[in-house]
Amino acid sequence: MNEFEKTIQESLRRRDPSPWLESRILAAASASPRRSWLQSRMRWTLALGAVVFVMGGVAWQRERVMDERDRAAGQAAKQRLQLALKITSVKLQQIQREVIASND
Amino acid sequence: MTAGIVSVVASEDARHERFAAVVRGHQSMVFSIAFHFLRDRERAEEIAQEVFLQLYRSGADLSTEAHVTFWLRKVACHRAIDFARKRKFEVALEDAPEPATPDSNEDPWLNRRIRALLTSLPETPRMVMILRYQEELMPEEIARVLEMPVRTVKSHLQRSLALLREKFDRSAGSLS
Repeated sequence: MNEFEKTIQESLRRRDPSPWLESRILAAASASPRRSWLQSRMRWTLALGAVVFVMGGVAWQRERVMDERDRAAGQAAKQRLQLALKITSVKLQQIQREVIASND
Repeated sequence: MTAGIVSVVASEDARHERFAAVVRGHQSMVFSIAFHFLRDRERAEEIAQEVFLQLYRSGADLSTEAHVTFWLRKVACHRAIDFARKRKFEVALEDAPEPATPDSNEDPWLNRRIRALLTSLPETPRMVMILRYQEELMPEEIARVLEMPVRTVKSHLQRSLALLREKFDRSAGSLS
């Protein structure tokens, strides 16, 4: 650091504010500290609760939709199987009738 | 339930006490940043008050000294710069009020002249100079406080020093 920089440093050394600044700040902080601090805590808690609630709701809804979709798919498969069995049964009866007729 | 409320109130009181200690320990730093930047004692005290209240209301952790110091410096700098930009703050260099604290240097005129010349710098380089010579921060630390690249800080320092030197020599030459 050269002489000029030392001069700048000396010119810019810290100053003391008025003696009443500290009490002014503390009085202003005391005016609404507890409520605002509690409020901010409460706000965060409520926000967190809302997020958890919404996420839970979304998960529950998704689960419900999936169940519904699985049930519908199962139902469709069951109907397809019933139809296939019915067709097979008709065919078998037809064959049986033809076999009997050819034996006669 | 009652125990919970008591503990909240107790921790609130402890926090208030800690805050009072933070104000006592850092008021001259915060005030001086704003004062050297704006050269207006009243505005500097207003900014200092706003900065401390912002800290108090933010619910920030006051137990870590380094964190608190960094936070206060950063917010004080940005508030002072914002204030100057918003209000297009201009102080007639020679008319600017001086603080009550007397200069320890033997030549108060020299100190006043340097501070006046500093006020002629644009906002960002002026704040860089204040952080370098008032707070004695290294360029890397200044870069963190002002959120700018270290190269920019170094270039502001070099250019501002050269400019101040030139202006100072010119004004000293015109007096002799």
